[in-house]
Amino acid sequence: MAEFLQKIRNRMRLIVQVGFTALTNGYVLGFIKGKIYKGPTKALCVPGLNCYSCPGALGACPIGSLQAVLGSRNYRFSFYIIGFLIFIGSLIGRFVCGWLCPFGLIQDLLYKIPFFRNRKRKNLPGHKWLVWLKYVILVVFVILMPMFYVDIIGQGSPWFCQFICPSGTLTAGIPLVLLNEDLRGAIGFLFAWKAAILAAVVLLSIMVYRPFCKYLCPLGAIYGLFNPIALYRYQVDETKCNRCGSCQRACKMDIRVWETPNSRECIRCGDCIKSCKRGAICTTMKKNKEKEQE
Amino acid sequence: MSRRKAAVLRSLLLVAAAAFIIFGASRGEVDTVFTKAVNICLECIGIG
Amino acid sequence: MRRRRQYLMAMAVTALVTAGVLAGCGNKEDSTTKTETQTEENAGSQKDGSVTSKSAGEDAADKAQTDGQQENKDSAKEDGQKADYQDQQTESQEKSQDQQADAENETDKNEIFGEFKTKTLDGKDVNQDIFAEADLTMVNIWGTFCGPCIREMPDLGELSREYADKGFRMVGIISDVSQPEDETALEIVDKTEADYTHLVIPDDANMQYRILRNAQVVPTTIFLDKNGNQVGETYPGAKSKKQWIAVIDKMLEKVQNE
Repeated sequence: MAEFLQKIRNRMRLIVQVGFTALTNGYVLGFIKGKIYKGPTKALCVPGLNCYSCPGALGACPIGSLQAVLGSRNYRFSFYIIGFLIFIGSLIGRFVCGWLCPFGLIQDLLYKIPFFRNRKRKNLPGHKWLVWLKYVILVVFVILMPMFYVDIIGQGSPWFCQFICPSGTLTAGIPLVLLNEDLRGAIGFLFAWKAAILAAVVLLSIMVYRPFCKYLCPLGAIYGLFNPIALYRYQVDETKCNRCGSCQRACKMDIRVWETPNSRECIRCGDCIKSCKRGAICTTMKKNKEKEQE
Repeated sequence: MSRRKAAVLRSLLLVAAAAFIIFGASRGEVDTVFTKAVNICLECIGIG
Repeated sequence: MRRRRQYLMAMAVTALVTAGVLAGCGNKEDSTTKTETQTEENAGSQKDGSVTSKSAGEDAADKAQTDGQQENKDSAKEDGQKADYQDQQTESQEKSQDQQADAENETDKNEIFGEFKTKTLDGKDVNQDIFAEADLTMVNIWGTFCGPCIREMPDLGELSREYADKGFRMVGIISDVSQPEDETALEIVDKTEADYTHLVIPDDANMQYRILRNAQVVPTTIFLDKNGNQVGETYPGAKSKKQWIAVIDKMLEKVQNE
């Protein structure tokens, strides 16, 4: 029994990822009928990048909703969505990326596929500069374009959703087109473009760990800003750490954990904690538990 | 950033976030989100 | 080594299940014909009844749906017509298998809208006889919230004027407006110069269901002949003016050469 519990503890993150994805995309009826859920929970955002046009989706995507409100002619700023993002960020930061985002789960699984066994790598060349690309995408495609590139009555389009987001293509575009014969006739160049981006991200994800999260995701860009001050964050015990570098080797986001345990790039997967032979890294949750026990 | 400063900043942010959410909801943003979320977004799926 | 094999197996199983589900859905689509939207709806909701009572995973979906209905009934009084129409659509879909059977008996296989009574955006009364006024009526279902709809409307306005004397008529149906003289809709029609007839959909559950069940997405465009029967396919999504000209010419040929 103890062994079984230990096995579960080792796989905890995967279990939470799958469970949360199933929970927030549990509208199986949508997949059967080729429609999307229209109930009231669709007014609430889920924390991860989860397209609201997915047949299974029960909630709304924060990035999509942000573009919708900024693009609407009635608003110049979204208090509701920004408030939600600040709330989640301040509590858990990029824990969402590592534990609650469906597209993160997909990239994790893709990386495990044993293709390119000899050529699997953590980062793309140019990593240092590429990590800033997600902030450019956030500012340009999620904020500026929907706000200012408007049509005849002042309404903007969701530029990130429309031209970039591979999560939407995979979980919404492809299922809906496959399940609805009349939608199939309406696809054109845009669909091919999005499919190409999806294919590129999928292929890259087999070779590089989480390329979308590292270089493209605007949501991760936002949450990452909160990592240093989030309630759930990592702490390094300086007295125990001998700067051996095991944590950086274990870290698939390639972070120098002993220096910056709350880097903007950290998705809180916990691999560094498991790898530290001296137990020098811990989460603020564990630290508080220990304090209570003393 | 010292632990104390981080804690203060975080508390301020959480309070601000709660206020933002309530204010945003009261001015009808939730309706906009809901409308967008329950109608298949043709642009999002690569058609419109 | 063992872990990798386990993951491969898990992913293979998932892929198989997904393929099976999609293939199953694909067969269902093929077996019901494109134009028979009524029978498709019937088969769909009947399958609902049987499938949702079976597997465990769907209990959550069921609960979500009934919860959704409950809360929809509460919030329907506060929110605008959008909530109403959603609520009534789920309500009608759930309860109206009888209604559907009736509707099917009343109307022809191809009569898309059946009998209806509503008003134009300017407040005039209309009913299904509006389609008798032209050989070919192009019905464009749009919404004030829908960007792509609004962006194609200038073209539709031009087309309605260019084809005016060829036995052609353009009619717009605004999916999210139930009262005539709606400000937003009027502004959109004004700015896009889409000055053809636009219909609003009254708060009647049956009418909303009947008119909007053809539109999975907006914009959706349907062509009707002068008897209210559908000509050609249902066209979801916006098109360019050139693409519409090709379609309209094809449809005109179909109706005027019969």
